[in-house]
Formats: sequence, structure tokens, C-alpha cells
Amino acid sequence: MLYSCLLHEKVLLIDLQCEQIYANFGNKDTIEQNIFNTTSLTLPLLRSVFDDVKHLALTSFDIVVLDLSNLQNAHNLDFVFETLFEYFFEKGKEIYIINIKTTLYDNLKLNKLESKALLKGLNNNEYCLHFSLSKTMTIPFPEILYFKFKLFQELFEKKMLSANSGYYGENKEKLSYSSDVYLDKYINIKVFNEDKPFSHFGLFLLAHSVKSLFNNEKNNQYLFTMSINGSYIASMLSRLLGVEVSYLDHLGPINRMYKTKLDNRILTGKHYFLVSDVICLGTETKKAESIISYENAFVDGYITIVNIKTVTRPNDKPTFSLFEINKENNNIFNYSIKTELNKL
Amino acid sequence: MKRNSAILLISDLHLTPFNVPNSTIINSHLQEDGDFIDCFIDSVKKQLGDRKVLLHSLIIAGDIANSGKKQEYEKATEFLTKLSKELGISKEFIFVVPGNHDINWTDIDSYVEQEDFKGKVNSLHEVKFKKFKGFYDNFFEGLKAFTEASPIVEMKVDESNKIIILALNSNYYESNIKENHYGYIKHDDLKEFLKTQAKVDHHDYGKIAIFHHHPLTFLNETDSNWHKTLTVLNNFGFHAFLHGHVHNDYSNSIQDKELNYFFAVGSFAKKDLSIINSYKLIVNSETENEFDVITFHYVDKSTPNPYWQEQTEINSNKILKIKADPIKLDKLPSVTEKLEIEILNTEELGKDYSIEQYKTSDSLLLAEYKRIILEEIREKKLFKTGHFHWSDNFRSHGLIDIFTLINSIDTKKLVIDSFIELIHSKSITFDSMIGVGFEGNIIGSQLALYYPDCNYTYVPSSLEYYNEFEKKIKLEHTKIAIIEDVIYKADALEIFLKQHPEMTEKIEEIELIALFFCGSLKELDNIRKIPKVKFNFIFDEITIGSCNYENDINECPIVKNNLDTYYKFH
Repeated sequence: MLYSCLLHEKVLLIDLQCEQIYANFGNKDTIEQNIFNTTSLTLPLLRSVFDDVKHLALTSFDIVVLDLSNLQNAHNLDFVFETLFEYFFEKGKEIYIINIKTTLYDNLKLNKLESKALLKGLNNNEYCLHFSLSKTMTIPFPEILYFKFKLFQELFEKKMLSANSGYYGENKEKLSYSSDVYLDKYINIKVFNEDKPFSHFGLFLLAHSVKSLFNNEKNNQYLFTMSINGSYIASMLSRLLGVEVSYLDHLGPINRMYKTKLDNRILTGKHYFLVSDVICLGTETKKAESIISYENAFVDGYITIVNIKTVTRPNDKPTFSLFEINKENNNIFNYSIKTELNKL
Repeated sequence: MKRNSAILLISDLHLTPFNVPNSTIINSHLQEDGDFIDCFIDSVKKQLGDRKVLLHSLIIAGDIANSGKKQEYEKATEFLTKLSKELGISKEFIFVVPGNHDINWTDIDSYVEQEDFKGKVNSLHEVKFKKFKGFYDNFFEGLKAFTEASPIVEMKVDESNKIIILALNSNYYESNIKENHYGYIKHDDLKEFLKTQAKVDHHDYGKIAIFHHHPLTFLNETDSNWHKTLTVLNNFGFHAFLHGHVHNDYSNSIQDKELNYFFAVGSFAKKDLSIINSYKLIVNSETENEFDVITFHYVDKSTPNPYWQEQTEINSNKILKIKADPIKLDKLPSVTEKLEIEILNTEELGKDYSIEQYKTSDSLLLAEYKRIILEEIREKKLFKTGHFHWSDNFRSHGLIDIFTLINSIDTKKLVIDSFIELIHSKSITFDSMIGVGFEGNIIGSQLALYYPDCNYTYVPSSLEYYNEFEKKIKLEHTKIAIIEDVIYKADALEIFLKQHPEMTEKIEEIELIALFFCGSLKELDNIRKIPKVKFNFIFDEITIGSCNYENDINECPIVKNNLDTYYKFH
């Protein structure tokens, strides 16, 4: 199974560190690995990627992007990698091999491919190679370097729009009890979480976007969640980042919270990052923050799949999200919040 | 192991002068003193006689030779043959592992000169151990054979004494290059070997592993090979380790909280007054699976009458346990004295229900995981008693704090590994997985990573107070695994299935897999009666009592009379 395979608008993108990490997770005998220490590409993984790639319909894409971000070593894999490259090249695909660290460039002996390349770029000590028989560059530098985020967000938007659900049922019954305010629709993150390869890649990207927070003093930092959707997201992030996860079941504006007087779920002096599926008005996260602060612990930021910028919070903690809905792109979603004053 | 038995441990014989670069040459008693062997044999015989014990086995923990030469092994064969004969021990019970000095550097040098060495690492094992293998195979006369590249020298299962001795080769990377001078055991191969050999019947056997290198001399900084090897050995019930290599008697620096027992033995026959030669006699103690470890030093200052002297204060820990302590449930901590844990007891529950009809044997690995999990529960005090109100109609008199168990990365991995082992050992198959509740979701989401082709979703454990979209699940398959942390009652599952009618319609089979089943046998029988459901529990040995006044809390005498703290969870 390919986790990072994004196929959209005739572009095929594969992130090899993502593939390597989930392959390692699937092997019980590998020692605990996460996005920080998974830096080597292995032969079984590369062969498996090649096998999966061969099952993709060649007509479904014209451009191939192989993203090698965060990988440093790949011993004795030059032949397999070259075979993978030739598979696409011989079929006339435009190929980008991007974010290649110098050690990896040497390991994979990519200098052998240079004669076929249209362009060899260097950005922050990382190489990029571009191959095109038609001598055209469809995605320009440096946009290509961050292309996976753009591609993911386009696909996410498409999938979320189709999964958008009405807030009320056929008989005008309320389907969600998360808020006292009135929404004409809600974003169904469970549908995203159940989309296995896509959500796994999304959470991998999210883990990378927050990893700078967890580089130091991991023992002092925890993820914290308070919803069933959040528990899935936090569980996956905890594995990807190698940090522990704490939770309160179940916290929300309307939902009741289980009493936890037996547990030391919030540890004095520790630092927490609140993980949720969607941040809308931020009531739920604020409630969790109050409880954490009451225990003399700290909330350092929020991590969420979708951050709806409903209100301006000038002094708020940093929020990391996979997707943001703001006044610029809300015309696509038409997300609105109403109250008793202007009820739906 | 039978009473009145003993194991004799020696190591680092170094049959020719011990020659360390930039140091003085140390001669060997074995080469120069004809009486040395007789003195040793006399000492061992006397000690066995005085203690009225019989010798069960002789272990030689490596460095038989000094430079892996044929002439050294000829002397070794002579020496071991004499020991075998004089001490009356058959070759079946003589265990020899190679040390780094059993590698022939000259053979490696000449091989590298002649051959294109690149890519022939496996051939190198054959080259470096060529002489040792010749000695080993010749001495054991077809009874045992040495395999050069394997981490396993031999594994002896002594059925009559219920003891397993595992002899390991820790020289995988040792060669003529200084940088390769460290211990390394191919832990992956070791694990595969033990998997194929493991039998449930061996769970009760005492187990000893022997190898040459001191654990602290393994390659640990970048590879943590020792840690991985120890994990594999622990997982298969090996907690007693005997080794040599360091020429002293001490292994205290690696003793770890009574889980593992390490004993080193010093060099055997170095002829230098500043060096202490020693042997160890490991003798059955009064306690089953426990041995007294007695050390003897060679005293030759009083020549011409040298002798071996028993050391009384050499190690603070002189006990070797060859079988890990079973966790006793009565040791589990309780918040109050009103503990209501019961071991499932068929007599108390009546004739209609019998644990035997449900229970299957745990694999050896699963039994070990369970042992460690129970130890965590004990150490972290995760078993709580009190009056716990889970819902309007269910109250238990105890709980296991799963939150703390899965909050730590290490114990969470242990829990997940135990699920994997249960699934593997019982050949449970499924194509979709559902995690139930926060705990079930955290375990399930990470468990599903081991099954790349398996879909995963989750539902809340209680259907109250949750949004409709949180309750819905995407179902594409017909064989489902439901992952839960603790199950008390059958009706929780019945309600769950009732609320998800699509499951009972579409699904062909539901494998219920839980870490703990803490309900009664009657509840177990009720689960069994639910159509399409098969149940699999990692722990089903602990029953937690439930409140009989299910439907009216005010009738509950504990609440009514304020007898104990009660915890309201809903």
C-alpha cells in the first residue's frame, strides 16, 4: 500500500520518507521509529514502492514527483532507484526528484542520471533534479519543493466538500451537540480519518509541520486530546513524533466530562499541545486549557486538522493545522455560524 | 531442575601465553603446570562431594584458545576430555561457546589476501571459525556441530530436569580488525530460532543463556544490539545469563531490578600473581529454580601446594534465578483492604460455566508479555478498588487504569505487541478493525499500522453524549475485529451491535479482541451466545466484581450506607 501517493490533475507524488515510516511501523521488530530518526531508505521498501507504482494506470498522470525530504541514507539502492526512475522516464513522464540531501544523492549515485536531467538545482544543501523529454517545466522552482502540501490541500478540499454534512437531519433534528451555536454544516473529520492512506499522509505532513516544537525536552511535552476524533489524531501523531498522549474523555461545550480523580492525567509543570479535529470558535480547547492551567501545567499550542478562523485571537497560542478556512477561501465552503438572534 | 545438582562455569582458558599488544606476555598454567588440571579437578570433586551434589553441566564461556590455533585446540580437546572423564559428565552436558580469542586472525589475513573479500561476509565467518569448528565438531564427535554464522551454538532442552541451556555466539562482527572488537548477537536470527523452538510446555522450565562477551562490551552506542538481544531473550523467558570475556568475577554493573541475573567468571589459568583465576559452582538452593553461585579463586602464592579457595564475599548478589518470578495476583496493590479480585473459580460460579471450555493456552511469548504487563500494573499501582459507576446500570468494584498503561510509549508498545501476538498465535483474521472508546482507539489505531491492508475506524464506548457522525462507521468488509481495553459485560457489546445494525447485517464474523475480560464466567457465556461474535482476551484471569443493584443506585448498600468512596464516571 502506498500512503503518500497523491494523484491529482495528472500529477503523481510520492514521499519516500512517509512510505518508509509506515513500512517500519508495520514491522513489529523495528525499534521505535518516528519522523526524527527515520532517515534511511531500505531495499524492501523501495522494491515495494516500485511494485505498487506498477499497478497505477500510466494514463492517469503525466508528471511524477519523487520527494526524498528528510532522508539521508540509502545503501546499495542505486540500482533499484534507477530502475524506478527509468520506468517513468522511458514512458515519457516529466519527472521531479526533489529535496535530496547530499549524502543521499551520493548513496543513490544520482550523478549517473545527471546527463538525462534538464535541470539540477541546489536549495539549502538539497538537490533537485528535473527530467523532461519535451523540455518543458510544468511546475516551476521553488514551488515544486513544497508541492506536496499544495497537492494535499487541493485533494483535502475536494474530499471535505464531498463529506460536508448537514447540521440537521431530515426532521430538523440536531445531528451535532458540539456547540450551542447554529451551523448550517459541519466538517466531518471522521470521514478523513477513515480514509486510510490519505489520512496517514496528512498526519505525516502535520507531524512534520509541528516537529520543531518537539525537538527538545520531549519528556516534558505531551499531546492532549478530548474527543474521540482527536484521540485518533493524537494517537497517530504520538507515534509519528515519539511523544506521549494524554486525554480526557469526554470534554466539550455540551458533552460531559468523565471524572478523573483517580488519574494523574495532567501533570504539574508539564507542557501540553491540544489536539483536536476542528477548531471553530475554540470553546472546547479553551475549556481544556482551563483545566490544564488549573493543574499548574501549560498549554503551548493547538494542533488540529481544520482550523476555521472564525474569530480573531490576537494573543492566542500557535495553532498548527492541515487545512485552514478563512475569509479568503470560505466562499468555497460557505461556512457560517448563527445564534438565537439569526437562527438558521 | 532436580535437587542436588550443580553447574560448573569456567571461561577464558587462553591455552597459550596471553599476548595483548603493548603489554607483557602472560603464560598459562594449563601449558606450564602439569598439576594445575588435577588440582582443579580435585577441588571440583571435593566441593561436589562436600555439598552432596552431582554435576549437571559444564559450561565454558569462550576464549578456549588465545589465537585460535590448531595446536591450542588439540590441548583443549585433551583438557576437556579429561574433565569429562574425571568429573563424570557426558559431552551432551558440556557447553562450549566461542570467544573473540577463538578467532584465527592469521586465517582471516591470508583469506583477505587471496580472495576478493567484498561481499563475502558470510564466508568470513567460516574462515575465522575454521579452526574452532574443527575442534568443536571433533570434540563432540557428531553429537553437536558448530554453525559459524549462526547466533545459536546450541540449545539443550533437558526435559527430565526442566531446564533449557542456550549457548550463543556473540562474535558476529569480531575479526582481525580492532574496530570490530565488540560483542554482537544476531538478534533477528535468534528471535526466529526461538520462535520455532518455543513451546508452551517450556514455560515452566528454568532457562539459562550463555555467551562470551560481557553485555557492556556489546556494540551499544549506535546499534543497541545488547538491548535488542536482551529483549528477545527476556521475551522467551531467559533471565539468567552467564558469560566471560572480562577476566573478572563481577557483573554487578548490569544487574537490573531483579528481572535479570548476570554472572561473569574470571580467567581460568593465567600465570600471573596479579591476576585472579576463578571458577564458579552454581548449586541448587532450597528454593526451586534458584541457585547459589559460589566462586573459587586459585591460590598459588603458597606453592608448592596451590589450592582453590571459596570466596565468601565476592558478590553482593549470589543468587541466580533461572526462572522469572511469577506475578502473584495477591501482590497487586489495593487502594483499600476491601479487595474484590477473584481468580476465576468454577466451583463458586456453579457447574454451568467452566473456564476450561473457553480457555486456550497462551503462546510462550504472550505469556511473557502478560507477565511484564502484570508487573507494570503492580509497580505502577494501576489496579484500583472502590465503587466505580460506569453507567446508569453498571457499576464495578474495581478497575484497571488503562490510561496510565497506554500513556507511556514503552508500555503502550508492550500492550500492542501483546495484541499482535494474540492475533498471530490464534491465527485471527479480519479485514477491518474498529477501536472502541478512547483506549480502544489509541490501541487500535496503532495496532492497525501492523496490518497495512486492514481498514480502521473507531466508535465511542458510550453512545450517550456523542454526535451522530462520531457514532457512524464506514464498513466495507465482512470480517471485523473489535478492539477494546476492558470488557466486563456482554450487554455492552449487545448494545453496541444493536446501535450498529449494519454490522450484524453485513458482517460475517466479528472477532472481539480485548486486553482484559474482567467479567464473570456467566458474562463470558453470554458473549459466546452473541451471533457471529468470537472472543479473544489477552487476560481473562482477573474477575472484578460488579454491583448487584444495577438499576437503582440508591438501593446499593455501599452508596446508601456510605461505606466506601464511589467514583462516578458518567
